[in-house]
Amino acid sequence: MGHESKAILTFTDYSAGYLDDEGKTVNLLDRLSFTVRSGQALGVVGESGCGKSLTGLSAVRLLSRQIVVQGGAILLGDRNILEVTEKQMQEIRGRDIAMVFQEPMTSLNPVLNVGFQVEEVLARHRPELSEAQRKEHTISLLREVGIPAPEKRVRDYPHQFSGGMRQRVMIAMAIACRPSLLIADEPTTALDVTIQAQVLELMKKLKSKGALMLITHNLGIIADVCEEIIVMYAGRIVEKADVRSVFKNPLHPYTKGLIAAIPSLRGKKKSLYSIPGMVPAARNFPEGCRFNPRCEQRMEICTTTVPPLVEIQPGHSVACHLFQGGAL
Amino acid sequence: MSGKSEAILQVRGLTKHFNIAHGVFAKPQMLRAVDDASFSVNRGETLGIVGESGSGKSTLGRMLLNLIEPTSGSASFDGIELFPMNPSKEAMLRRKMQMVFQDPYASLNPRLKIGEAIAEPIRANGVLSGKKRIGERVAELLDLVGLPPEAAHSYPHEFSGGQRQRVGIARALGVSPEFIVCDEVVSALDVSIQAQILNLFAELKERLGLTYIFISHDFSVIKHVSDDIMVMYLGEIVEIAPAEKLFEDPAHPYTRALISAIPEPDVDVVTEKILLEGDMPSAVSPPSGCRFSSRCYMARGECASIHPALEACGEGHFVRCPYSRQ
Repeated sequence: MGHESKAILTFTDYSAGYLDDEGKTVNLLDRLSFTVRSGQALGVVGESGCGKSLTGLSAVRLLSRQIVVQGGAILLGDRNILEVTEKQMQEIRGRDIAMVFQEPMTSLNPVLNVGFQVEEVLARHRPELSEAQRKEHTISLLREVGIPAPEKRVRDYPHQFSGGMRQRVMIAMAIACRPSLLIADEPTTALDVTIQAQVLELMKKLKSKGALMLITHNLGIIADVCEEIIVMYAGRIVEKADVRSVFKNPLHPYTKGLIAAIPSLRGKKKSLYSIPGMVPAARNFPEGCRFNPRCEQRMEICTTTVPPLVEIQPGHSVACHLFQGGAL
Repeated sequence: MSGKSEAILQVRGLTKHFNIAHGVFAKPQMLRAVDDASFSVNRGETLGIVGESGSGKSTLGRMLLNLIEPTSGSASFDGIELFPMNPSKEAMLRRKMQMVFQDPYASLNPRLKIGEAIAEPIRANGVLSGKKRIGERVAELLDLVGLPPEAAHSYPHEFSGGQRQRVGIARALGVSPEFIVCDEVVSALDVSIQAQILNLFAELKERLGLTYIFISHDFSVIKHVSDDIMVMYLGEIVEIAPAEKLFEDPAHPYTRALISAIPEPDVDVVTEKILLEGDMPSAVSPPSGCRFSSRCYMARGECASIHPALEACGEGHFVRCPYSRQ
């Protein structure tokens, strides 16, 4: 899309891989370029093993030690976070950029009450606040994310909260310092659908105050919450556009397949479209287009040459040899 | 349900209360997992059961397979009363009724080759004997679920989630059952794999004339596979209707909220979201009166005191809410 709002996070040709047992680097993420803009939500979609979570973790630099950055830049504002020290990164995390994960129970400390855990973030990043101010601020954060009776609940422990409420606590911690970017990795996957709807409403409210990068396998959630979308397959962006273009006019065979595979609530589909095969492991990523073994429109060139991500229409890019002429 | 085909399964007032009190002298504390469930399933059709965690849908499915003993109520399958169960009756019913679970990895022995895992129920239920005949049957079953014959010699860890689910299905099909309870069978799978497995279930139903109970929290999956849909909330059936009807004209306020909450992969669909307040209450102390009353956006004074009955509100359409049509 255009230039309406300012870029908060920009990936430029970012690549990463892991070291295998023989010391060789196996590529996982291949030249990712995309931008998250202020006031917007960018949806990252793909199946398990496509590199969505790794992309999110790269943006907060929480990668395991086997992961090696192979090139590119990740700009937060105008700062390349690949170049800052770990100490500086600790300042950035929580203050400028924060992340929420799928399973809130494993991200919360079970022996500390939730009030303490939210206050901890404030103590770390906003030393100017007094203890009383921190307590007050914690209560107002919990209220903001929709926890009833927050002045009582601050003293409760994580196990006393339901799944949806725990996820709200995680979100309260993440937004405590008003980061300019919130990254949410499958934030509602463990939740029931009526609770999911509540959390998604909250996400929509939050994105208007900052920017959101929402990682999910659920295209329905993307249609509901996001403005922009990147579709990932086997560590590459295969399609990138505004949400409307992707749903109305999906170009990449993988995107088309993903949309066609979802059982519809409206109308009757006799049989679902299913993409043959499955996502390969990174060490088995094929040559050329990584989707080629599963693609029904595979051509000769697909098995040998990597298709570049090309803008076909304003704001709509696709990495597929079918569209390399630029024509539709 | 409309009466063209006969009911193969009839369930009457099936109830399960778990005693969750700790200690010998503790006062019994009852978790009312399923209360007074009555419904029927026609031969060759699929009944979908949808509900959120804690709604009792899995407990209900397990009671039908005698994996959980009901507290009260009765059920009959093909004219045979299921309860009380005895070993010879169970042996006979195992060959007619089977179950497929969510996580096939958890139900497969990691040290047993796939061929052995599929042969086990065939042997245990005395369907076939003799190595050669069982081997042939295993090959036939692998083919039926879309796996190559060499798969028989592999171990579960060599398979992906979708392939393991195919093995789980092959195991259930080994005894040539007429009826299968499928409990969250595609929940752990990616959408492209989910589509493969759902298509397989549809194909098998057609080819083998199977009857299914399909349990899922995912309304779009349930809508896709079911002839009739049953919605559960906190241990009770709140609505039963033919699939299309339930979606086009949901009667119960909970069903409406549930449908409106589904994020649809379509940018042109602008649904009026009905956001429910709070979480599902505990099944140990469900709200008095209507169990949904504590979260219902249409609740009136009476709802908290009068427990509504499941009543007909259209052809094959039943709802547990007296005000749903006002």
